[in-house]
Amino acid sequence: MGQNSFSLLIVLAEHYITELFEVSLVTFWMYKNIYIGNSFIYTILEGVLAMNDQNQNTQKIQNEKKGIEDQRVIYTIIQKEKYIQDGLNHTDDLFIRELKKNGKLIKIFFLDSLTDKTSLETNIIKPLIDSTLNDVKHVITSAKLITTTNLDIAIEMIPEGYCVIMEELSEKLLLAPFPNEHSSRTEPENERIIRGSHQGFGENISENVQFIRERISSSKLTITLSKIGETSKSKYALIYLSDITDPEILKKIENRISYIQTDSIQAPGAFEELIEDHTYSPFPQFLNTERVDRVVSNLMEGRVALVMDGSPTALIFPVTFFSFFQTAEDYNSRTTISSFFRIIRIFCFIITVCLPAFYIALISFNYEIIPVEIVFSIKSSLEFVPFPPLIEAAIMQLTLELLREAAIRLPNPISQTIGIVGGLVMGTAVVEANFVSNTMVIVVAITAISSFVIPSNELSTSCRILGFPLMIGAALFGVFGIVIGLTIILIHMCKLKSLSLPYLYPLAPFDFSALKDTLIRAPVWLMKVRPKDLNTQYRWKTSNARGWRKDEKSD
Amino acid sequence: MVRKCTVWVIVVVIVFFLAGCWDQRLLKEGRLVYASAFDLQQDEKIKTTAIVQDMKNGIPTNVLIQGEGNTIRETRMDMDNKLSGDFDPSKNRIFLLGEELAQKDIYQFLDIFYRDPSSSISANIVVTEGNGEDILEKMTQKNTLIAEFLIELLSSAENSTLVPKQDVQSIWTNMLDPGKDFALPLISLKDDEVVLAGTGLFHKHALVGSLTLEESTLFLIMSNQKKKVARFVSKISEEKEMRIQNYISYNFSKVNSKLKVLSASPENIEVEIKAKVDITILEFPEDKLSNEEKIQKLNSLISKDLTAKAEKLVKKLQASNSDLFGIGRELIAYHPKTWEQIEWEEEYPNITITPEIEVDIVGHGIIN
Amino acid sequence: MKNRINLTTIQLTFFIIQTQIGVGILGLPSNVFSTSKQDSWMSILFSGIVIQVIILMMWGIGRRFPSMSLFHYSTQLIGKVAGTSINIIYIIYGVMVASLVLMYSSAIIKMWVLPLTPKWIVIALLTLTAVYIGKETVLEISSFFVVVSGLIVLLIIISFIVMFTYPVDWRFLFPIGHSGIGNILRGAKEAYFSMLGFELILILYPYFQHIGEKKVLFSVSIANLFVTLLYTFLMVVTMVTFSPDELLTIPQPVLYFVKSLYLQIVERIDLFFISLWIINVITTLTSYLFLATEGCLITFSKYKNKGRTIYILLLSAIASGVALIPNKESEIDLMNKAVSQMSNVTLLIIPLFLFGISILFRESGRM
Repeated sequence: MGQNSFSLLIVLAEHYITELFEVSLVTFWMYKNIYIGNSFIYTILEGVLAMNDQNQNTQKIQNEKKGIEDQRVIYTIIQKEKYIQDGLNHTDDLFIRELKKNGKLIKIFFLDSLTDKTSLETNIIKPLIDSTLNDVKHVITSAKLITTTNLDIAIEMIPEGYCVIMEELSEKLLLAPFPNEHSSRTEPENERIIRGSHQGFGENISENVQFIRERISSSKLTITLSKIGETSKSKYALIYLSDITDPEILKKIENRISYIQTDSIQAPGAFEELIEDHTYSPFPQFLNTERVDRVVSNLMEGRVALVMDGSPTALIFPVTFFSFFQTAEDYNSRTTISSFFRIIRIFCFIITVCLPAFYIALISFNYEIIPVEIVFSIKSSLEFVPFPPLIEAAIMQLTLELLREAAIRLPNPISQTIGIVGGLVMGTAVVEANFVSNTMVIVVAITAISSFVIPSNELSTSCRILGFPLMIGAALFGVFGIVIGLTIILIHMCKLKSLSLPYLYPLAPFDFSALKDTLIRAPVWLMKVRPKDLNTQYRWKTSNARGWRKDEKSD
Repeated sequence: MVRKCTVWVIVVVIVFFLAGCWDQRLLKEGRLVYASAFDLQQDEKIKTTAIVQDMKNGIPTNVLIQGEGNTIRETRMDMDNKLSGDFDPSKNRIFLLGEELAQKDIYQFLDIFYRDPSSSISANIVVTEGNGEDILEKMTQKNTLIAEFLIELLSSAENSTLVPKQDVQSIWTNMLDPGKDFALPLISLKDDEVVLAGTGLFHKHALVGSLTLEESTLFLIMSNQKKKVARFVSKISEEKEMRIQNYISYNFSKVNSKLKVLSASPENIEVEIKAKVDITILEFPEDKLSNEEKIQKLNSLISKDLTAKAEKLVKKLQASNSDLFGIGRELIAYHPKTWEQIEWEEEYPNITITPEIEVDIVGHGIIN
Repeated sequence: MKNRINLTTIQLTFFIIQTQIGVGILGLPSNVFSTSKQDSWMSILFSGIVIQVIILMMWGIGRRFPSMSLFHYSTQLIGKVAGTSINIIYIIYGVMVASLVLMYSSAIIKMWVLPLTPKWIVIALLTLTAVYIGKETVLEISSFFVVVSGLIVLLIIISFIVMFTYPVDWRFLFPIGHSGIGNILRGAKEAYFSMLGFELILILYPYFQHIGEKKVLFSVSIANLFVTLLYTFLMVVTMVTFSPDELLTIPQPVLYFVKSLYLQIVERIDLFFISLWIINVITTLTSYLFLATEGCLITFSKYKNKGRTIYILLLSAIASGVALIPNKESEIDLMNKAVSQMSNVTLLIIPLFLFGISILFRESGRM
């Protein structure tokens, strides 16, 4: 026996050692990424230096460096064009205007979504065509103009709203900013927040792309524009960060979209149905949002967004169940507070699904659970109700859905009347006429309120619907019915996939470290890596942001 | 395929509905019993008296209902026939056992409560002096909320360490334990009022005697069962002019009681119960409690009084053969050999139990 | 290797835990207590040790054939015919255990929650739920098991509440060691049958081989340790809450002590407890149906195109059909005896035999 326990001990020790080794490996991996990040920052710094200091010396050093970095030195304009296109990942909103001046080919690169085309035309294109001067630099009437020879700087500057002017047989690149004007702010009606950005998407696709471009000025932000629908030819754009998003995911989306052969697609909702994994599931598998900041933060996690012309709703995939409980505000308020509200939201989800069913099970199967102090008042309110509890609950739930449906389409002032007539007048009358018991009204009201707490409208509706089968289960088998029902729902959620990625991710498959941003919202500096499930190309998010604590402690 | 499935699902659901909800037990239709009393009649038939609450014009009222039968279940069936709706004892919070019934063998009568999954085995259980039926009847006339009244009576008594905290389940544990007996609160009718009379002593399954409230508090103190407060009055002198001056009232603030088996040979079993208690003075007209000597003197006086009372209590327990302190359990656990050799039933009244209570005054209210 | 979602040690551990904890948890204290009295907790600890030894042996075979499950290497070791018959024994064993689980659980549910509901409905609901998850792959099943394992914590919390609110008497645990080694061993045998489930390592090994052979052993051992400690804890709780004679009259003491709990707001916490327990029953059921399905898939690989769903439906239909036969407890006990005998064959004799052969002939499936 001794030997057995001894071998177990060895196994245990070995396990811990391997664990330790893994930890060190992860840290190594993170440092590597920081290194990548630093070198990335370094290039930007270099660019800034070069802009400020037109010194010949630096230029030379830079050229040498470039030569070392990529053995081939770029000569022809075609090669340069390809270099820039590669640098911007062949994003579809990169426009290239070609013109000939004095027999020399001139190319102007700019991002369609970011650039104010009118001023580009008046300030650059028109003068270039009209003027006879040889030096392009003197023709352009832009206020700010940067000259560089480094293509990488050009690639960095384009997403910030610069246009790049490239001349044949010249090393010099001219950069001039023509940022688009900001359109007016519209806050999405259904995703309002108190603190944070109040910008919502518009209905124009290039405007929407601009919103995202403004928030992520990275050359890695890639936009694929396409058209869908044989007749309607609706425009849509897939947006992702090419250096974060897993190419597998992208391939999967593109493959799924390639199967769509239809006459017309009007809205992202139809898109959703055509490419989602389980159409019959009550759970939404893609996230709908009208908020720019939400889309941006999801893009930064390594997800893909789809925006469509004519709809202010962006579709985000793949998502997990817990994405529906996150709001943009969470990341803007204090961690304890947002954690508290996260927990409240999940609690409300459970209440919405279970409470009516649980109440039915209580009063028609196991009323001995109810405390003796309450049971009498519940009983007296039930005394004259003619319906069985299930019918009673169904009547009230359906009335609630009716009210909601009725209030949505009516203009604001009238929908308030509906609220009063439906909620107050009918609620009281129904109870006084003994159609429905007092307690049932309370239960349904709590259910309704908690369903509205869930930030996502789709999820909130579907979990109210999910309550019905559970209610039937409870009416048939009491607590046993609820348990079976909930287990089936849980199993369904475990099996559910969003773009072949597990829907219930940090819970199933279990990943403790990813729970930091699901059930609670841990401080930003604790979320050092991206969640595992998206399989991003690099997982680094923040490094030791609070390292300053060490400096301040020393004294 | 999917359409076929949907059809099947609908069919199955309809079948379920048609078949009905087998175990449905609607709260609406249940007539909840809040308190019930069991009495034994002359011919050993059981008579159950139950209190059902009803709402009359928004005011809860009691309905008294009685049934007779050979078993508890039969009495329930009898009562169910007299009631509209289903007779439902699952929310019963208090059971009253008539004296005569308790003296027989309560285990036989309680069996149904342990067997039924929906019965409330955490309900309070008390013994009544005389018939339980009389108490419920008297209270129905007054139209108070009987169950609530009785439960509050008990819980306040439990909190002030007057009666032991027992419920239907916990006495079962003791009933089936050969090494320990139990006591239940005892209530009685006094001038048409329901009062707590003391504690009913049990041996095995039957009522064998009773303790006064004072004795019962002392017993609880000695078995470390002090609740929130435990107030007590001791006589400390004889000669004072006014009667009140001879007494002192105090509260046990901390109790540490130890049961020790001194000798466990089968022929000679000696047990010592030593309690160290801290008390705070609640009432002492003589005052001057800042004097250390005086406190020492009071300490010894109260200790003496308490020890004398404890001795009397122990005698009483031994006389009625009720092993409330669980000395038998102590022997089973730590002296199994002795336990196997003796017949505890016969041995218990003859063993030596020496109680000793040591008092220390630690507080005296806001005056000295 | 990218950070793809994959099977991990945690999943293996909970797979085993969820299989081991099942119907037995409710009745175990009473069963063990009837033979080994106040030393029951020692019996449970002892059976935990015995199981650890068996786990070591099973792991020993598994590591010789890391990429194969029992159903594969049985034919490789002792030939087509004998191997297939061994596989069929395991398939029958899986179905038998599944139907035994159904028998006991439906009996307890009928006793405690739904006395009037027909048995077939209870069995059908349990089976359908188990089939719904059981037809999936190991990844889905194990992630579901991990999620519901959180509920075990609730069970433990409830038991703790009982220990602190109920007037417990620690003297019920004494005298220690008084019931004799014979009784303790007999009690260990009772406990052992409530702790079955670790045999799944025989078929799960190939799925988890990538985490390393030592980690496989580690996670299964942790599962066994957890279950042993949990059972010991529950045993102790029931023993200090109930007096010895009382414990003998209560067949499901764990439920009973929860029932006697009366918190300020709720009564009948046993219903809550039983709800959590039902999920544990479903997971056990799933595991054994999975075992049998896996066996069918590999053994009858000629008809593999039929797929998992068909097999598991068929097997669960058989299991629930068998579960409907007995009417009385004595008949269920008869079935229990048969399954216990069979488990001796499947858990001890066959693995030992295969282990011996693989060592003797130096046969192994390693590349």
